[in-house]
Amino acid sequence: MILSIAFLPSAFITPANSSHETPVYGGRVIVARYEDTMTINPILAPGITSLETTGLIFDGLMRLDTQGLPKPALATAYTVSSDGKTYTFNLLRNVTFHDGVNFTAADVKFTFDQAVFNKSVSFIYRSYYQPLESVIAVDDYTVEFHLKNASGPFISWMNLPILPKHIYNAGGNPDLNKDPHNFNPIGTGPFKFHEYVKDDHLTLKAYENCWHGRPYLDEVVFRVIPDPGTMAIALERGEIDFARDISFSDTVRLALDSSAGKNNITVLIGPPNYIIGVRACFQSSYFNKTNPNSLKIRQAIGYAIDREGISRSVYYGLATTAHSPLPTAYPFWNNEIMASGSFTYNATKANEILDEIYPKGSDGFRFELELAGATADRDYLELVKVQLERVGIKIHLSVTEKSAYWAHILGPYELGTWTWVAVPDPGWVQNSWASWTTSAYTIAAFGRANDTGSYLSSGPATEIDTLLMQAEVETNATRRQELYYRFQEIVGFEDPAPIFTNFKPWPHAYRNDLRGIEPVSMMLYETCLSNSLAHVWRVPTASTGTQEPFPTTLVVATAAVIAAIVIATFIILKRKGTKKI
Amino acid sequence: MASFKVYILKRLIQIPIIVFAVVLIMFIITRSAPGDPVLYWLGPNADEQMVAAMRIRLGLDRPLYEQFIHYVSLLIQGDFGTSVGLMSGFPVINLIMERLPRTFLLMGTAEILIIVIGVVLGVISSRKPFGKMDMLATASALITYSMPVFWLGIMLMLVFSLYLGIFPSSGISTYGLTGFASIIDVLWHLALPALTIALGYTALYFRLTRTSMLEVLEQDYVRTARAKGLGENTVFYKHALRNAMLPIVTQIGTDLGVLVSGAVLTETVFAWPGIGKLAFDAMIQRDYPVIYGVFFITTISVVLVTFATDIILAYIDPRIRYR
Repeated sequence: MILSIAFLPSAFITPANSSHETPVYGGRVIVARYEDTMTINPILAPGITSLETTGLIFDGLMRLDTQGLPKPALATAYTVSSDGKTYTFNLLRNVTFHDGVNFTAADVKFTFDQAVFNKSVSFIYRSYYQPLESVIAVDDYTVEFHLKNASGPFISWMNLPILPKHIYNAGGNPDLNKDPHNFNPIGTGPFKFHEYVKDDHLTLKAYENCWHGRPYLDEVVFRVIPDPGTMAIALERGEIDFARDISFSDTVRLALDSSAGKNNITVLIGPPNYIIGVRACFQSSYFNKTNPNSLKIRQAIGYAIDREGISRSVYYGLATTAHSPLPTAYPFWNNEIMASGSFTYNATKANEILDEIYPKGSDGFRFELELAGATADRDYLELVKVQLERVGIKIHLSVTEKSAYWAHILGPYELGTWTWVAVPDPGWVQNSWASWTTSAYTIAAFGRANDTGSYLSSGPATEIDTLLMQAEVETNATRRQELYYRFQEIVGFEDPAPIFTNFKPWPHAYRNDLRGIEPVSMMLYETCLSNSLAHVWRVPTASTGTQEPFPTTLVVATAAVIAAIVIATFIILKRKGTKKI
Repeated sequence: MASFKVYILKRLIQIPIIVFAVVLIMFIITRSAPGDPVLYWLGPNADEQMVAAMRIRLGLDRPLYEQFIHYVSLLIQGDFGTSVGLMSGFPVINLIMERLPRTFLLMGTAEILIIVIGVVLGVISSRKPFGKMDMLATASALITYSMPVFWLGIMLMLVFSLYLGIFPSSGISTYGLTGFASIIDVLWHLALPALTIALGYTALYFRLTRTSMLEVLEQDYVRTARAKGLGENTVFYKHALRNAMLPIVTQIGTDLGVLVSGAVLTETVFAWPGIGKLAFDAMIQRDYPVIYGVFFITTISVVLVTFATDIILAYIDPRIRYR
């Protein structure tokens, strides 16, 4: 069973389209997600669920393709000044918002002014745009972006969805946080807003005049199904067409059933989406900079963790081993780390390192550490505990729900799990030396620059500090790649702070009659759904898929049986009751 | 009759005191839990300026007692505040009122099923204690009572939805239906979640009815009724069951009060967008105004239903008001 599961991932990934099929227009797709959208304003959207919704309604100047590379969207082309500090975008003409009003440079300027420069607007990704100094609408179809300094990842951030100024600036001086259009949006995207019932469903309709053509589908409905098991059953029954958040166990089950022809479902594993690891806190006595053994302990932990064992036991063979915070599918991934065999599971080597610094006591343990984590990662934590205890590190688990865990790690702790989101460009999160902020890998892993226990301390610059600063302002792609390669060598092996263990994919599953779905990792405004739905279509000969008809015969038969049982019970009772005592 | 009025007055005075005490305790417990909404949304490594700005915007920068006074003063004005789910800004009362009908529908249906099935089984069992029917009913009720609700829900879903295809797996309605068909459709969607809750809690009413009936059947007046030559049905349903219903009615009163709190696990498993799921999400996200709002509504509901039950009982049974 384990072997067959181990071979599954490659079998799961199916071609998006058969080349001989001709796309047809029409139909509805019902998508299930575990949570509801928080807002339908892309500037305010806090997480992936909200962002992928807005990704279908709005467009940015650029969009990221499935490889995470920026491609033109509302901008036809752009030029960069020789000093790398001025980007000039030429905009598409004859693009209309869903209300028929033309899209112009004023909308671009309005959007960036609100998102980046209006500090009262709750735009949590503002720090990504920290290099931006000003936005100037040169004419109706030309926009200039002036930067404080050259920025390598800047162009990747130009997928920020553009809001219509005439809607969100109605009446002047808008408070975007409370705009009524936050749940009744107008954009330029392939789908326009139709209906929203909170925690139940959200409906989008095809926008006939979309600048890149009408989408094939007439309608997209997002449903909220919080339980992943229920979601899988709903998909099997055909109540939904596309399940975004099925569990790993259901992924394997659905895929095996699919292979055996027992269901009409395609399972899509897609590229790695999350990186999970164990993070050492530099404020603890074992890992702070004054402890000369800190590095050896971290390296020993790196050898002690059996990443493949975790993948098999916790993630049903769907995860892969990780040694770097950068996703494998993207250009910055340093394959040489993997090739070097660093941190392959080697308990003997871990024991040798630890024997030198902390010999085992009579109880078989060398020292004790607390390993904290959130309930969602309980299985992972349990296995890491077993693996570390095998090399003599006594582990005390502290597993709490997310909010409590986050509160816990605000203070000193020792070891904690962390999940890093796989975004395509490291610069997305390592954007500003002066203003470390909401993070994926760098900040979460290393702390803020001014934290006393931080990896990136305010003391003399380490090599990592230098590398990240150089990569931030480097615009030459090859040179950036070299810098991030070296960065991965250090954090992945030479001086690990977080010990990255596994890449977790983001499985999706959908009905077989859907075509055009592309595997893509999470990249904020672009996800598998938002990148695919604009050109997804249904095979017309197949059943319309969703919403099985009301099974009248079965329900009537069931009701009749229940009624018969009730009547029989009463008759029996009545007969017994007539006996005189 | 004067004493009855005094009794009502005393109970009326107790209501605001109880509600205030619950609000205070709820506030303290909620705020004692680690984490807050800012941490939940922005994460532990967020930019300090952004964290500070958000705390000010949500009023979390003020001392706790000020926040409590502010909240109570809003409550007195009938304002439940707005959700702090980052940008949502939904008025809490709207969030609750949207879900109340759905929760009433689910919990009300489940409660009716619980009472009907529980009381019928209890009466049947009490007719022949420790007989085959009694043993079967006791075993069945205890088995379903012992099952975790979410597991029972998933099993029902697998059998009746996936394998037999009789009921839909989840949700409250089929998208796109209107008119009478949509009403039937909602009832169709209601079947499995209501049955899940009902099967889980039928044992309570079953045991209560059975015990109460057995106790009443031992009373002298029952023996007298039988001695008079009354039919067993008359003895059972007119004499015994009516008296045995008193504790059951009290239990129904208590249950009606907590109907509004919903059923977190069932609502989650069956994607039923009710109060329980709202409260659960609010607790995870530390959405304090929503947590307080749901607790407050539940408290008011329990207190008022209990008050009404007590008044009815006091009216029926004068001994109660003289205690």
